[in-house]
Amino acid sequence: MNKKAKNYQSSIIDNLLNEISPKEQKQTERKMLLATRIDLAMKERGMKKGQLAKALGKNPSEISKWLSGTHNFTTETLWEIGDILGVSFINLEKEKQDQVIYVANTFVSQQVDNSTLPSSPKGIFDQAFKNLTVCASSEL
Amino acid sequence: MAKKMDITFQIKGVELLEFELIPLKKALKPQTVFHYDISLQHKINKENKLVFVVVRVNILLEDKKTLAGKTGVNSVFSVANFDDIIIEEENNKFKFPDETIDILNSISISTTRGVMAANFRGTFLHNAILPVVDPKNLKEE
Repeated sequence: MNKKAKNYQSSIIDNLLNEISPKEQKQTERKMLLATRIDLAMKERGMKKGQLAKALGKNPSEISKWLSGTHNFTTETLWEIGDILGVSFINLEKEKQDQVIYVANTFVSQQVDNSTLPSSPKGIFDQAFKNLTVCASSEL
Repeated sequence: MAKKMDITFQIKGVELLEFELIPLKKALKPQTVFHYDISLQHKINKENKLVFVVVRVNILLEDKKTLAGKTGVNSVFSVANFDDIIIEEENNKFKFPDETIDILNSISISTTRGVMAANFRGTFLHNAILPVVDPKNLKEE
C-alpha cells in the first residue's frame, strides 16, 4: 500500500515570530552577541565565571545570567567587564577613515584585431586546439 | 629650487574591487576600437604609512556609450618615507609631489593592465588590453 507523506504545516512559529517587532529582534540579537563576546573573551583568558565574579565583586549566578544573553547591561558594567577582560565593548573613538588626496581621469582609445578571439575560426585558441588534437593522435 | 625627494616604497597588495562583463547584443567586428574611461583615486592612511591607488576602468565600444566591461583594482603601497614625502596644505589637506603621483599612477595602471588581461582572458574582451597611458595626460579633478 502506497502511503504518501503528508506535508504538515504549522502557523505557530510564524505567529510567534510575527509577535516580535524588528526592533525587539535586533535588541535580542545584540544582547546575544554581547554575551558571546564576553564568553569568548573569558575563554581566551582562561577565566572561569567564579573568577570574573570575584574580580567584579559580583555573584557567580549573575555572570551566568549575563552569559544567557538576556541581561540589560549598563555602560558602566560593560566598561568594568572590558577592563578586566582586556576588550572594548563600547568604542568611543571616532573611526579614522582613509583620506582621499587625489582624483584624476583620462580617456584613451585603441583599435584591436579581433580575429584572434576564441570564437573566431582563425583564432589562436582553435589553432591551439588543433595542435593539441595532433599531439593526442600522435601519442595513440 | 625645491630638493627632489625620492619615494621609498613597496607594493603591499593588489585587490580586485570590481569585475564585470556586459553581454553584447552584436558580435564584435574583426577590427574594433575600444575606448577606456580610466579614473584614479589616491587614498592615504597616515598612521600606517599606506597609499591606496584605486584604478577603475570602463571599457566602451565604438559608440563610446555601450559599456562592454569594467574593472576596479586597488594597489596598496607601503611608503617608508611617508612623512618626508607628504605635503600638508591648508585645511588639513595633503598632497604628494607630482613626480611621486606619476610613479604611483604608472605602477597602478600597469598593475590594472595585468589584472584586466588575466580576468578578460578567453572572453570577448580578450584583446582589450589597456593601452599605455602617459601619467601626464591624466586630468586631475
